[in-house]
Amino acid sequence: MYTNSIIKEATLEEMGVWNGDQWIWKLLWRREWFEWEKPMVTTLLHNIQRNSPYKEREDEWFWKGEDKQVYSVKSTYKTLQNGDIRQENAVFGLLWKVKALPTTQFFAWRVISNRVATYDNLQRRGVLLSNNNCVRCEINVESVSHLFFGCKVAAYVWKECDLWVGLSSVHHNIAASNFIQFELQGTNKNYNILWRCMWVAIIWCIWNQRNNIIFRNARVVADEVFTLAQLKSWSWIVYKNLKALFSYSY
Amino acid sequence: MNIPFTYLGLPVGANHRKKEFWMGMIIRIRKRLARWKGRYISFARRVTLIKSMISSILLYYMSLFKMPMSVINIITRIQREFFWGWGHEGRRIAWVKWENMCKTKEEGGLGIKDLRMFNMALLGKWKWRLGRDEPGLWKEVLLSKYGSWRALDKGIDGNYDSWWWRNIRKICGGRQITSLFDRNIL
Repeated sequence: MYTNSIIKEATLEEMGVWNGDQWIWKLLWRREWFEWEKPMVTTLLHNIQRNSPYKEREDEWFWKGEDKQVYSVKSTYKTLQNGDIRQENAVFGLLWKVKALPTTQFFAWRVISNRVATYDNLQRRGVLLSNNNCVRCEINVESVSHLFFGCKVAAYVWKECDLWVGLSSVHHNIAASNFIQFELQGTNKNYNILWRCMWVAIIWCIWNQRNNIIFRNARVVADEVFTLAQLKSWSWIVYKNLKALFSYSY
Repeated sequence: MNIPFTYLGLPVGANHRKKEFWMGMIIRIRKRLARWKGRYISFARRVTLIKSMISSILLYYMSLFKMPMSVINIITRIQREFFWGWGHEGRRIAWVKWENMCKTKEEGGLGIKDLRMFNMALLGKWKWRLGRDEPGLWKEVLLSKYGSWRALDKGIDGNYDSWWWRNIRKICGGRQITSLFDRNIL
């Protein structure tokens, strides 16, 4: 139909006339319509009839990128960045809500995205290592999943954490799933956001212990990690929520 | 008065399509994001510093001028070098792809701005403001020269169109909805 239009670049003004308060569409075509085309034309006219311009209202601009219909750099940037596709991931949404020390929070982000300098990751990036076994158990290859969850030292830490709050659960070996699972049943959302501080703290302390073993010849002591994690998460919570009543018992 | 001169912190009459125009800013960014600094502060602080650098140094210029791709590349490189602590001894491992770091936090990134897209989004606002009813001297000047905002929709540049106007048209001109912020424009 478009090819049959006389003025393709026409503005709205040129496509109709006002009859009193009523807008009448006047579309100009190059030729008469064939019989089989006529239903199409009727549909078109019917459709645009409903969207006739108003006489009293001034033209306005609307921005489609946002609900408020007002242009904002933020919404435009978002639209530009990923089109209409939002690939939000609940794990990260939760992670950034946790009010842990930013440094440790970022570290947790790297753990969840598997971007940590574990031996297997280093090897994949071409760093030459004589041995890529976990420094604690010296049996398995050190990967994020092993170092933080699978290794017996790590498993001991998570178990202690379970005992502390009276839980018994099976822990997931994949960081993202483990993080999601890490919650106290029967409590509210805000409480769990606080609780997840503990997750971040444990991850951070496991990593520090691993580094101490490698770079400072520290011994492997599983108890230390948990106590330290308790202490750390406690200090964050107290620091950020001075008013919160929180009983922390050892 | 010589051209270019500075008015409200912006150079008037200089050619913003040239690298020299942006040189002062690049030097300031280099200082702010000096490599040695990146080594002594944590991951989290580096992210914050990179983000604040955009709003404190770049934002004003970027909301008026289209940054040339070469400048965008230089600045992005400074950011990356700073972030991963690359220095004279060479590179270290960049653990995360820069594009992934530019994703929003909810999508698993760090919310660092992609300069090219951010620039486009900022410039798009001019078309929006041009079409709105708010009065403004700048608008009257533009309208008296180009007629109406519809001049942006024309596909071709006039011989006397300023480069600023051409850039705006490149970014948000065109009649089709899809061509508004077409990804392939720049």
